[in-house]
Amino acid sequence: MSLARKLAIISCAAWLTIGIASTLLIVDSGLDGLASPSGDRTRSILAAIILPGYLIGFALIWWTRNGQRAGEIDERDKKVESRATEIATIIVLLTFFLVSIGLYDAYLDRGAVPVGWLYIMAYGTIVWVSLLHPVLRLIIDFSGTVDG
Amino acid sequence: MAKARIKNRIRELREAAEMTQSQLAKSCGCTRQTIIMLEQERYVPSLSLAFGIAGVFDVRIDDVFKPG
Repeated sequence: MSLARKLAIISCAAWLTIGIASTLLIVDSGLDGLASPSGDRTRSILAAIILPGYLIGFALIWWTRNGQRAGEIDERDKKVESRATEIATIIVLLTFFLVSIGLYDAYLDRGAVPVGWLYIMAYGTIVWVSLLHPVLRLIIDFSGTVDG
Repeated sequence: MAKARIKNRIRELREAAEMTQSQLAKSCGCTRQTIIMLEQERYVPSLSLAFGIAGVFDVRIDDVFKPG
C-alpha cells in the first residue's frame, strides 16, 4: 500500500473519531452550554481535540512533501490530492451555505440565531473538511479518475 | 469534451524485461499503485513519467503509448 493511501486511511480514522467525540461533547453540552460561561470546559476540550488534529494534519502534509519519505508521493498521488481538494472545497462551501440558510429559515421568526451555532459551524467546518478530504482521496484513488 | 484515452504496452514490456511492478516503479520514480493503474489503463501519465517509462525499456515513447 502506498504512503498516500496509508495516510488517507489514518486521517479518515482519526477524523471520524474526532468527529464522533466532538458531536457527543456538543450534544452533552447543548447549544446553551456552548453559549454560556459554564460551557468553557466543553469549548476547551473541543479546541484541545480539534486544533492539534488539524495542525498534525498539516505537519503530515509537510512531511510527505519535504521529509525523509518525500519521494514516496508521486505525480498520481499529487493529482489525487489536488482533485480531492477541489471537490472538498465545493462540498464544504455548499454545506456551509445549506447550514446557514437552514439556520436563517429556522430562526427567522426569532430574529436572532443562538450564538452556540457559530461555534458549531466554526469547529464543524474544520472537522468536516478534515474528514471529507481523506475520504475523497481514497474514493478518487480507488476509482482511478485522475490523469497526469 | 470526451476524455482522451491512451493505450499502453507497459505490462507487455515489463514482462518481457522480467521486471516486477515494484522494480519498474522504482526505476521511473513513481509508486507501485501508479504502475498498476497504468497497466489497467486507468491512468494517463504526465509526459515526464511517460518518457521515464520509455527510457527504462529503452524504447521510443510511441512504442509504449498509443491513442486509444
